[in-house]
Amino acid sequence: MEATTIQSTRQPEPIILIQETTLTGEEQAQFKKLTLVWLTTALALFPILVILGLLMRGSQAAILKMSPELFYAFMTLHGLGMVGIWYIAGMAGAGLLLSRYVRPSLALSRGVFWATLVAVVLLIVATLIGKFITGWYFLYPLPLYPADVWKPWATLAFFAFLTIAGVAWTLWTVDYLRAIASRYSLKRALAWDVLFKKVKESDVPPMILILTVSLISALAGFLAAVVLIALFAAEALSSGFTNDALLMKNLVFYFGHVLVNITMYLGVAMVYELFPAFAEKGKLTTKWMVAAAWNASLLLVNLAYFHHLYMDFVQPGLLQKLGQIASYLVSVPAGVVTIISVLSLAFGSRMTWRLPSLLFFLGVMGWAIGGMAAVVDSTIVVNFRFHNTLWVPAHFHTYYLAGVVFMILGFAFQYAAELSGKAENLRLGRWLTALLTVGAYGFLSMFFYAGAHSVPRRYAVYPSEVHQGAGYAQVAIVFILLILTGVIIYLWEYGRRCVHAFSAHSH
Amino acid sequence: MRARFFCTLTLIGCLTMPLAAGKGTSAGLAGQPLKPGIPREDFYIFRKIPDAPVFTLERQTSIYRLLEKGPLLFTLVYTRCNGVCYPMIRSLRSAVERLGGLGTDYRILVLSFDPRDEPEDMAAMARVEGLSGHPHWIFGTTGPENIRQLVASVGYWRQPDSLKQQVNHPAVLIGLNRNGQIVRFLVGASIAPARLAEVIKEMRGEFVPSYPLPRKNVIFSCFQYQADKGLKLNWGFALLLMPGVVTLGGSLWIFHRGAHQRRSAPGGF
Repeated sequence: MEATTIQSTRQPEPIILIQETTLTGEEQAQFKKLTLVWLTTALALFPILVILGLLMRGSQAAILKMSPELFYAFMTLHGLGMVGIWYIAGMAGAGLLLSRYVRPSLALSRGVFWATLVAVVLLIVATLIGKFITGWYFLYPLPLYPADVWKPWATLAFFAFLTIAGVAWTLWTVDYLRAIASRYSLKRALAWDVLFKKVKESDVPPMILILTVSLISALAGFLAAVVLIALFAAEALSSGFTNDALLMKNLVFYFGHVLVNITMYLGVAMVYELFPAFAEKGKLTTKWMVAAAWNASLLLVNLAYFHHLYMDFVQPGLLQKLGQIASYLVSVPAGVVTIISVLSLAFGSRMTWRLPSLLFFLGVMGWAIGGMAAVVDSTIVVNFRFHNTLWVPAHFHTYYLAGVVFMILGFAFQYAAELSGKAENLRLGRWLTALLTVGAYGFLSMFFYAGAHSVPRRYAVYPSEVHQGAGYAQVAIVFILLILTGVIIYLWEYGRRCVHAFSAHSH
Repeated sequence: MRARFFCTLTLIGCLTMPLAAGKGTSAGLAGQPLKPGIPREDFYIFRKIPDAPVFTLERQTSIYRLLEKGPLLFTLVYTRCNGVCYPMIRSLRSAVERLGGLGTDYRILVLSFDPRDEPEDMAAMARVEGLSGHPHWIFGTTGPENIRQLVASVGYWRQPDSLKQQVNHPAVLIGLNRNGQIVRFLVGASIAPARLAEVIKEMRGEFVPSYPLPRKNVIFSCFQYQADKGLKLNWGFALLLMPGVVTLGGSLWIFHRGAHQRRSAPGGF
């Protein structure tokens, strides 16, 4: 603590780029470069997607005039874009950390990168040019009935985006699982030896456990998307086949729910691996509590999605109740265990609170706060009031923006700093953290407040019955501008380090 | 390597290409012959119908000009009909009289789909129905090409019956909003006032919740409800379980394959 008050800058310590690796020198260099490319691509798209959010809130605040078609095009791109960029950034970061223990395929990661770029272009074309505006959930049967709002080619472009991204990311997921399997048996990767008390604690790092849980769940989510796309295609191709709306909605929310949760888990896996190093407390081991929590998550994350279908009265009550129970249970083990772990690491440590460690810490707390708001909404009697209000975007923006985004921003900054060797301005780091935190929670509080006052979500313009929504949106805009300012400063600092790192690599 | 990558992309594109066709094409919007059956509202909802001249005894106007004054209830009939046309108009008249709002909220356009019908024939039909000279009931004809465009735009089918010298066709009442977009179909000769009230609400821009009835060609439904047996699982539920089951099997396979590598690797477990 003393040291931080005296020093205004600090050289980055090796937290991510330690000696422990399974890769050869050349492979390691290539892997580092590719990870930097992945992270930079995601971060470059981030402010653009923030601006889309700003424009949407501008329309809701009655400050900007835009057609509903444009609003929903922005909404579709913003939703899918945000989930996509943080998923790829999470996977890229996790892949680099995974290479400490096992050998993910560099060639496949490269191929996935190019496929993702193609998919991103298709998504942008489908939404902004083709006006494919169904929202991220492309709820059946909407994509098949453009009603002259969008052209049929936009539907093609959108499903091509889904197919290419889905295939590429599934292969990526399978490759990481293959890499883990090449060193650990499934029992050890899932820490069953600890869980069933054969050993007190496992030397398999918690990150491996969390990634195994995440990757298996992600695979199930992507397969749900495959079934979904196949059923859409079957209906479009044949004249006599019609899909069941309930099945399609179950599939789309299974896929979406799992993908979003897994993205958060990827961020959490990074925290488990790196936060102890920031706290100078060595490495975490996998104890019974951690093993039990994450094994429970493997089951529960696949069942909690039923809470998205509470309003579908044709869904049997048993599944609705299962949704509530799973939602309660999934939040407790992983969330509570992680929070206690992070707090115990931070408490009494000699940690220097720098931008990455601050963002890691705040990211876990944001995950917890958003998770609690999600638990509130997953309570059936509450959901009757909160369903489709702004409470819903409030909770998922909390664990995304103030959760996993903070974690990945922390990771990316630390990574770029280590690669470049450039010193960090501690004061700027703290101001930047404050700016991002105040911006994020101010923006989120307007969502929560509006949601609690029954302001509906997904309205381009608020009708007179909920005109108060425009006022909340106006306040939110101020905070979004703070976030945007913070993101620009962050990108400037990150970019400087990246340029240095790239030029060092090319030499 | 790169060539293989782009070949794969092209293949994926080709596989997903048919999606571009959308439902419109399969429903006959691209000029395919329309098959007899209940008109499918979901294929045509929010589509704009084409403009067409409307000839009545008193004047010549057009559908779009009529829409300038407000929403329209629109139906297609023919005057030589021995079947559903006359009873449907009578039922509509009765429902409209019970509901009110004609002239203020909407007007009714009865157009002939038979090129042989003249404005005089339509005026006679109005007379038979007790609607002659009614300012908000418009009985008219249009040109043969316009008929073809109109019936295609709403998925209306006609099937000549040479034996009976009649034309088989559905009885359908279509709600058009001010923009000429289809907001609701009402199918059948008997017009229930409650159903008509919903159509009128939709035409005024009010939201009327609705839910499609289960159809026979749904193969993969999650559940089936039978009055005597209650809720039963159906094949769709197996599809819902499939991702989890395949993932479980796939994961076991990946880790089983990894066992060979683990045995040969020095640091393996």
